[in-house]
Amino acid sequence: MPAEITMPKLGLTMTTGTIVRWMKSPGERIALGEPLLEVSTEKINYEVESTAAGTLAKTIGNAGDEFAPGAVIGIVAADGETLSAAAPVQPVAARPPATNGARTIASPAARRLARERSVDVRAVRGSGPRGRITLDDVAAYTTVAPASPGASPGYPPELPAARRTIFRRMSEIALLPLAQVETVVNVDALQALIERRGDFGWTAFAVVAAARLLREHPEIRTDARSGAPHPRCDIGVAADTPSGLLVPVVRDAERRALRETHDEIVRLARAARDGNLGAADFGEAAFTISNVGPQGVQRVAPLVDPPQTAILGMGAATRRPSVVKQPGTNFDVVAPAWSLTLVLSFDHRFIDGAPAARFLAALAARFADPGMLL
Amino acid sequence: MARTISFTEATLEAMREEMRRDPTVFLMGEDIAKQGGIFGQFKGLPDEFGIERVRDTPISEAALVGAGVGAALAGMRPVVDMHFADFITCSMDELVNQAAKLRYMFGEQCTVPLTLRAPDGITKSAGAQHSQSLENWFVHTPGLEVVIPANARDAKGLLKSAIRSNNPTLYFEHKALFPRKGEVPDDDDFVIPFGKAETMREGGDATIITYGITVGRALEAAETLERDERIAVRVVNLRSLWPLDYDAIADAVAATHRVVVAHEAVRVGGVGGEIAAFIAEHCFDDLDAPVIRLGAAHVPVPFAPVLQEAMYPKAPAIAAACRDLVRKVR
Repeated sequence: MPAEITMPKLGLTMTTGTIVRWMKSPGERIALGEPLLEVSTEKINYEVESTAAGTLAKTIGNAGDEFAPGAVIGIVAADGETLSAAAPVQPVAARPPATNGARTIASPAARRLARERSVDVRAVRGSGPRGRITLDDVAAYTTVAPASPGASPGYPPELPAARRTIFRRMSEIALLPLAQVETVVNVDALQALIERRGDFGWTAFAVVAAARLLREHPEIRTDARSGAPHPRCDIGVAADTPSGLLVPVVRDAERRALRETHDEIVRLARAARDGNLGAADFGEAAFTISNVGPQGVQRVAPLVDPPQTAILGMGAATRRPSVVKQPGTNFDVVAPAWSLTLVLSFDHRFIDGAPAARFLAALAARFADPGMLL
Repeated sequence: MARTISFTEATLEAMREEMRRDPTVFLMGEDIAKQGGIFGQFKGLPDEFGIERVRDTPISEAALVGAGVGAALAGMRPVVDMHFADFITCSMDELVNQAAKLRYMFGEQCTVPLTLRAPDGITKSAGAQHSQSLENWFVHTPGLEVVIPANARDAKGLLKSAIRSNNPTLYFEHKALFPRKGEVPDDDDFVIPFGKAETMREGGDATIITYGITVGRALEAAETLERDERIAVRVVNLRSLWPLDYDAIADAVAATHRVVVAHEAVRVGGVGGEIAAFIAEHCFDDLDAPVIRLGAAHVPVPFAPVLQEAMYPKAPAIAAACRDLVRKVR
């Protein structure tokens, strides 16, 4: 019996995978476990290994085609099996399976609007009976403007396959009602601590501080799919890679020490750059941190990564003029201080400005007084 | 210019104008000339037109409708009064097997310009045999036209159109509407074309599709919802059930995405089912919630006043259905 090669499911939230390239051509011999093709998901590029030995009898789909997890994308015939013995396989369109086998309940009008605006209706939280997704739920999800004509249906012809996921996700995110709160914090003490200890960095500090604070600020970890707080406090860390943005996840950061967190971030960043991230490195995050400090930039206002509803943007700590008390006196003076700009972007459908500001103020307090975290 | 007159007076005006306009128009029925009709809807007509054109008949609906069909075939425009719509059942062969079929079966060599006036609906404890709304039977019968006025203006405009129509037309007039006053245009030639619904009220949150006496109940529901809960409901008065204004139904679904269909006739097997099914077939992608049908309970109309009043949809029930749709309870 010829073996079917299927689109793997790489992580809980994966809905489709895109074929980046086939490494073998039909007719070529392939060994068990040998890399067969590269696929790209919204989080990861991944080499799919052959689950059978023999001859690649058939490939279904070319570079750029999207398939749902579990869809058959290739056939490997064992020695002695003929190609005609291969089961007839129809290409399976990229239609993701419904969650838990249950059909998503959405009104016909809601489904039509979702189609028109290129929204995956399952990403929308339903407000109707039995959680039915209604017209205004989709309208609210896509908010002000429908996707621009160029953004939704087709990818620009020269767009690399690996970039398609980013392209599609950003087109969707652009429709969210994002708001921001921002603060500048004096980080003289943290700067000194990082220099003295040398075993953790700014990102690790932010990850641990945010993870612990998220426990006390459940609204900041609201999951857009359910409208309820995400049960975990895992943190996504935006990583720059040669093929674009990737966001591996630091698990259990609230219970980890700074140094341990730092080591994990270093490992993830290196793996992301080298293309070695595994599916396990892409758990669901409740919150994401994007740190452009290493690039020396002062400020970034990142985009929320649904179904998350908030994200922190960190800049570089730089020496800036700061109003401080002159030591030993009551006088205010302007003096140089290590200063860090923090921006919290949030989905205003779920999070109001006041709780966002409270979370950011609490986070800034940790940065100003790092001893609270040690 | 418009005047405010009762529904009864509106039908009387329609009769007078059409009888003056066309000498082939005449009236037949039980107790219409001497008594003037149960609701006074024929009062004074014998004085102007004589008892040749306003004829009292024996109590035989089969003979009455049969005579009407014959007269219509012979070139007259008879208006036949059924006394109570429930009694149409005694003339079903004449109506369904003869009047509805002849124009088709004889290849248009003849027409049957017959108007059947049928007072229907629930009034105070008229009992199960005098309270029915049977319009759906005739909507289901090819060859018949079915119209149902909701107010004095409809009463005049639809009755004049029915008399002028070359097809057998059932004109159902709700007994409780006769004394109700409303504005009627002064124009002697004012008619309401069949197959044209009227939007009585605009609103974007939901639509009530209805006809006859239930239009008033729907308007009351819509006004309450607007005033107390800021729910804006469109009210569509179908006026004519066959031909049916499917375009108006589709327009309403496209505009409001939520629909309640309401009538006083029994819900099961009622015209509301045809409308709901049409919406499901042709307006599926416009729906944001299931279509809700409201109609009378599937029981003979009770004599006991308390039971009678509980068995058909009134304004609060119609408002509740709209509210449930808009608040996403259903």
